Amino acid sequence: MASITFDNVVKNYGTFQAIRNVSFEIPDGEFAVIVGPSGSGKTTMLRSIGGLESISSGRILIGDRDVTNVAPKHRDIAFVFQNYALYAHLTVRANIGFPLKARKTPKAEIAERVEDVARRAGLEKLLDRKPAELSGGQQQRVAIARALVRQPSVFLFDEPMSNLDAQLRLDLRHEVLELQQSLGVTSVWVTHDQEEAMAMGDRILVVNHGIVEQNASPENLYSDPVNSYVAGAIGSPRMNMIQGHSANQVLTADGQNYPLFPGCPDGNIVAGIRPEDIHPVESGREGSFQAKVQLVELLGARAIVSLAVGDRRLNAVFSRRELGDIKELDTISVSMAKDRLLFFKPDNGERIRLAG
Amino acid sequence: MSQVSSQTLADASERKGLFSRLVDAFPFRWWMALPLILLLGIFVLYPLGFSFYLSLTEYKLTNRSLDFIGFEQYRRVLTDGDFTESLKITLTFVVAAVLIELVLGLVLALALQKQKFARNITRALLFTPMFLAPVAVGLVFRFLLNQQLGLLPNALAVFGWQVDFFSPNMALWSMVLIDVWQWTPFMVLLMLSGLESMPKSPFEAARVDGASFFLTFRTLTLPMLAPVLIVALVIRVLESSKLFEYVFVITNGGPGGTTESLQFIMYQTGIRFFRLAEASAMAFVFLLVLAVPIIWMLRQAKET
Amino acid sequence: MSGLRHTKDAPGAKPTLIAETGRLLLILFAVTSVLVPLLWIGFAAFRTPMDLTNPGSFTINPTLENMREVAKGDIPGASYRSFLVGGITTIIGLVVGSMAGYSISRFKTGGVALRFAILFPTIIPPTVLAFPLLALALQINISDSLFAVIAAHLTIVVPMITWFMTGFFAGVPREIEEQAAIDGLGPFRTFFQVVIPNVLPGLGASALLAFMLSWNELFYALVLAPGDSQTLPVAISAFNTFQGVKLGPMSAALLLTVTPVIFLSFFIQKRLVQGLGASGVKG
Repeated sequence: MASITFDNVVKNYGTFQAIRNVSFEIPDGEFAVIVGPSGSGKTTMLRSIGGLESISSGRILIGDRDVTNVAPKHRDIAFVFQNYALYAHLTVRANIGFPLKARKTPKAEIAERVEDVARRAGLEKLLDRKPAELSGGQQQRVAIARALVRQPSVFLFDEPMSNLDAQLRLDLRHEVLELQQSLGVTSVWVTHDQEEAMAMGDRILVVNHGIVEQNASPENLYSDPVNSYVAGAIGSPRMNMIQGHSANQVLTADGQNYPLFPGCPDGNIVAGIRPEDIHPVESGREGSFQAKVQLVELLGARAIVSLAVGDRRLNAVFSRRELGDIKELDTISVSMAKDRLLFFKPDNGERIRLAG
Repeated sequence: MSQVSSQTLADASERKGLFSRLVDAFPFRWWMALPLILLLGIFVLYPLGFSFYLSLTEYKLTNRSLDFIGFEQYRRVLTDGDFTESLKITLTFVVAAVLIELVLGLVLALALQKQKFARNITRALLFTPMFLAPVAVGLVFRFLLNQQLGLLPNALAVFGWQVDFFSPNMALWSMVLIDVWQWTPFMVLLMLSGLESMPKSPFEAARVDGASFFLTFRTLTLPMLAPVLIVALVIRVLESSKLFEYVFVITNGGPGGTTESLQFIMYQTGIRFFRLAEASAMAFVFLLVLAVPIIWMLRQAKET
Repeated sequence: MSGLRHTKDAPGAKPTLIAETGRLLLILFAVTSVLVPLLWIGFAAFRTPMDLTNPGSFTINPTLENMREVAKGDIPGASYRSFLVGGITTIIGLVVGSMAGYSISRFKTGGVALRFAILFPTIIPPTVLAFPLLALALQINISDSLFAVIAAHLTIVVPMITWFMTGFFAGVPREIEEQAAIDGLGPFRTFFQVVIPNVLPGLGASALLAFMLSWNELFYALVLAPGDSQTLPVAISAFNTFQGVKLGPMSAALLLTVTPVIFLSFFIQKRLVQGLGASGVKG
């Protein structure tokens, strides 16, 4: 069991900086998710923890131990790869047992631990098959079982589910979380899917262009993003961003006025409002404005409603009750939940925090 | 923390033996390539250098003198009509054989691509000749084309054609025929693998657009096959220029020297007439001639 | 014309009857051209000298006389030596070639220079190397021995295997090696225990092809070991006679030379196409 610490870590590939002076700490026993678009440096960070990439400067600590220059095999980690990286010529049993065999564990102990892990991962019946005879989901289970068998102090997962179909992903997600919780092993999970990140992480690191934009719990990321990038990256559909000029509690953008509330900052700003914080109201109510319904996408209990306000499109999520008999091409009155509005600086996207 | 994890790299290296330290001192990748590099150095680079030195001496198998005489052998080779005559013969052979193989190979590859019935066995049969020893193929055809005892001349005689495949006018073309028999399959193999690795969608789009077979072939198949064609062409030019086995077991250079290929006169000069130095000089001149297609290939490889 | 007819006649959709017949005739012609010479030799190997002198006839009084004659001569010894040369060359080639192929595939070791150095001995005319190798062999008294032939064959076989294996190694996911590194294997053990099992089919095809290259090779063997150590191609090249009386034994010897190769070739053809593709022949 161990925490993971990045201390001013830099990774250069030639002139390209994949990690730009990043520091963070993942406390012992937590399930941390690194989320970001492809090329953002998220996988490089994970591979640096595992020792598969050497870093250009800075330090990496696992627990209290500086592992910056330690070989992967001595870092006491387990790595689960996107393509599973199973040994194709070995049976499932031999695959799971391989990390133990490589460390010269006695045969009897290997057999016992492999059986135990296989039971937990639901692989008892497949132990004598070869990887090629397994489905993608089963292969990934073997990869996870192989990671479990050594009882390492850190689990590292590199987009392990991106090759699986949606339902299987949900199932495996639950299993992995249950296993992790029962073992209490510090885990780092890399994904580009923010929904997966929100669902799985005790902590999420939002990564972009080689830096960690924000390192916080899912609730905090959602309700209190530090900048417009994080605000846009987390939540689906994306947060609406309205750039305009604010004066006297009115935001003017593209010739359209949006009523704000006392205490809102004046000047050029970006106002962010999540789709689920836009609601239909009776016309004429204070703080409301007119919008034309362009498109209604029913998602069961909720609906994504695409609204036109002047030339601008706003996404809203209405509950079934709110939707009522609103249909496409209707003109309706909507208002934004005032306490949920977030403001950002237009130049660098930094959050403008309201006084008080 | 487990015991393994508490080992730092420093601890581990203290326990290392001499061998491990040696391994660490030299990067893994160079250790892996070392046997190859040694082998190429000892069996290729060193003989190559020695060969060039030989070509500057009067070394004979009967009198192994390594005295330096400069470029005398090269002068002899280039002014001696036999070598240039042989170069002409070889070039004629290469151009004829490779062109026929290229066209025939392409047509056959296109035909085989559509073949569904007995697909694998047909292919396996057609590929067979290129796996056979050229000496054996030469002897097979020596038998088959023999005027008195051969199957083909006797079969042609039934139609009233009297053909002597090894007459002065015909012998080189018979060599071409044998080369085509043995090596067209190689062309077919390369082109089939090229054809079958092409993406399907452009061809489906062309079909939807109503493009004719010839239009599709000219605008899609041929351009996409071009890299394979170039590689196949270069390999065959290089290989067929080494014509030796058929000549050695069938005509022995004859009749009247009409089938004396470069490789054959080098063997003749170096081994039968013992003049190894002169033969080495010939080999280097030949290598210089071969550099033309080699450089062309490297240029093409760079572009694609 | 109905819509259905129209699609059927659309160019490229279905070949016309004439085109299809032409295609089949072409393939039939090709298959016949390949088969007839081989079958004729197989046929001749079991005919008596008397029958053989009458080329127009297909009479056969099956005889093993030709085979017996071959068995008495140089052919069995030469076959054994060819087998030995091929076997040793192939084994050395597999070790050296797969190691180097891995290094080049993974680490671009040696860059363009090494890649060219590998191609070089396979594209040069064999005379360039055969003559100096003979002179060197004479110097250290190993001429007319199998050592010199093996050395010469290595210059063709090792580059071929290296080139092929480079392509096959490129198809092995890197993560396998990273997993092995995490599992505690060093680079050499990773190569032999984890990577090699992933390329066994390619290794097998390379081995067969290497063996065939050596088994068929004439020029180096002829120059370097023309006497007591002659290999099979050198031995059968001695059948260059126009005498009808020798046609039977010659056919029998050819049959013995060619049969194992035909048999082996069926095993590797599929892999050969893959290997060519993998090693970048496709451009």
